[in-house]
Amino acid sequence: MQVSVSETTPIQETARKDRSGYTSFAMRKTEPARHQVLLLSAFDDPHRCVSLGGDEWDILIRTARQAKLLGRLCAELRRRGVLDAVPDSVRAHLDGAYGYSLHRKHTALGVLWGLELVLNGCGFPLVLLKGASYIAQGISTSDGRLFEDIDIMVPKDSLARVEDRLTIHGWRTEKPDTYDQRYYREWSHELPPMWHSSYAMELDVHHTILPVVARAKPIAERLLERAIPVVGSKFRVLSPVDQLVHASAHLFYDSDFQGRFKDLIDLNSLFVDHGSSPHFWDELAREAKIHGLARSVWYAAYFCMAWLGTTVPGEFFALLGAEAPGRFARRSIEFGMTALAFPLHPDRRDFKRPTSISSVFEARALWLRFPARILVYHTIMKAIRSSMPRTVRSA
Amino acid sequence: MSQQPTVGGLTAPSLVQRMTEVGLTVDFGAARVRIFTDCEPLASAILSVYQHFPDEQHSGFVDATVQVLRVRGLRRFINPQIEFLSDANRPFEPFPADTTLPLLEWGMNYALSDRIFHYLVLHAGVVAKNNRAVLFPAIPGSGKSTLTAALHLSGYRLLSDEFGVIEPESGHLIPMVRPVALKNNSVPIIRDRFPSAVLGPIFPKTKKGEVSHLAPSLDSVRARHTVAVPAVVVFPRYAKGARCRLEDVDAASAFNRLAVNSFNYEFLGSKGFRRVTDLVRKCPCKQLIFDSLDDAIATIDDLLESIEGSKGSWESVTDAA
Repeated sequence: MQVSVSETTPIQETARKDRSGYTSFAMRKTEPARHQVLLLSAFDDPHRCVSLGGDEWDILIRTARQAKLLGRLCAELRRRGVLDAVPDSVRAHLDGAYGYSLHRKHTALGVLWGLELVLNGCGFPLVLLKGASYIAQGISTSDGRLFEDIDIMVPKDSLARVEDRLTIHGWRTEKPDTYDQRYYREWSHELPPMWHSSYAMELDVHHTILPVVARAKPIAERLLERAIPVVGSKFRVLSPVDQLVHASAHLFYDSDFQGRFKDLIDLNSLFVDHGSSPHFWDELAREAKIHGLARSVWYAAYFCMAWLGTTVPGEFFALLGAEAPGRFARRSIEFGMTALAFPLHPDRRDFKRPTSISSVFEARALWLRFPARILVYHTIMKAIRSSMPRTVRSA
Repeated sequence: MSQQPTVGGLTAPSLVQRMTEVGLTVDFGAARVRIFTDCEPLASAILSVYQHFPDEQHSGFVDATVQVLRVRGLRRFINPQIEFLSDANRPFEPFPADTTLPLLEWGMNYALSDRIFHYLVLHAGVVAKNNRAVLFPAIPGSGKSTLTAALHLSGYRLLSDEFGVIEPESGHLIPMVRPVALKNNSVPIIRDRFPSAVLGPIFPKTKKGEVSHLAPSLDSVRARHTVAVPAVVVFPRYAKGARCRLEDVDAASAFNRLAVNSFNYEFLGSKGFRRVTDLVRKCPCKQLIFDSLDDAIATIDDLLESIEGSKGSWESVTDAA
């Protein structure tokens, strides 16, 4: 049995690398659980995996699978030349998960191919977001990633036309009831999720990157304008910097952190894929401020640096200086991420998280998403609706 | 190998203590599973249906870890329940506390089908004679488990009742030797026809009706790392009162039925396609319509004998252990 990993945690090491002048609180004061350390260190420094014992591999593989990161882990180990040193029995699971991610990637490509035909000649930009855009760019963020849905973004005034065309070609929404429709169409940033009988994948059509009623108001027109064409297709993708802005907002603005460690891995890979281009960091700071998402981007850079060892230029934090969170805010977010973003320890004999912590961060996500008036209304409606039988609701 | 202590040599109290603390690791051949439980009735059932498995003192990496635990809380005094957990997930709602082994077996089916992506996993019973295997791919209710159990009890080696595990490179069948789940009428049929069969406890009121599990033989357990070559694919169809007969199934429809019934065919991409194509090209594919088990066994015996040596394109079987 080996204890090589737990003696110096990667968190402690990266805290030393920390060039922002901050030290990571949550990980230093509250002892990180063993499965968290194993998962973090596998992505932070895959070479450490070479010395793992069988029982450590067991915990790591199960944790990575629950985090939906097993295929990503396989890709990272291969990228760093470590995969061949992995024991055969473990390797089989990594390869299997990688194969599954390829299958999902092929499903996603099928959807994109179909969408290209359906939306051909529509005369406005079709922008791929998140997973679909990582596939289209062929960047390492997409390698081994588990693709769950396809997200596209179109101008708001084209939304009705897009929906019509998709509906004609067999895409259907699964949210027929009027309250859900109102939720999506008035407050949200996307149409209700759509499904097609030919594809085992959900389609989300967005017109901006955060709910329209959210406190932050990113400028959708600017994002669309700055989008860049994908060679050999009708699609565009957000500019590299805007991809980071979107992914940061998705995790640190519009989520309750539950099970979202994979989003941090996405962010980290995006920094690796895009971060070395000239003026990247200046531009990122500028655009983040323009869209009112500087705080989210600050957190993204900070967590990738402190937890995953990404190199962030010191000036970057200075550029966002005025938008940096205070000590209390930062520590709260660290606490929430530590408690909620990781899967539960795989050997736990209990499958629920403590509700006290998760409800605090659910409340935070709701608070950022909705103004007080809608929040009260939505909360009351949810309470009423959850007490009604399903048949009444969808009538 | 033969001198290794087996699960059957333990006592229920010592087994439940072990399974509460460090778990029991069972090597089924294609996968190794670590099982935790705090239910003594489950430990007793395991003592009978897993009796021939080695009592491994294994720590380290396994393919799946599962837990069957008593549900805490006040309702345990009125209507006690048990729940299945794997990696801090609970894929099903709790079961009544008296359906321990069915919950474990169904839970393991779920956990293994969700984790074994490195082999092609067909939904099929598999038995073999001289390392030449008969595959019974089937939908529930077709008599697959009954037929698998009957052939196993008539001298065939059991490779699997649920998972037809195929190694994608060689096309060999890897055993996944687990108890055969017999449902409803199959239980008395097997018990009466084969009085020596080792059946676990009978669970009368499960979601799938009455269930009892047949313990795999010592020989099958010992041969769990010996692969077999697919010799024939037989789609069983139980039909009451029917005359036992074989009908040819053309390769294209056999392909469809195998692929659709697979747990992970599409995840393997072109590798899966090549493997299933290969299988239906090299093996005769038949439909077996049967009522009487004796006739079915004789038919399978004859079938396997008649194709002896006629399909020589497979490389010789090697020991995967």
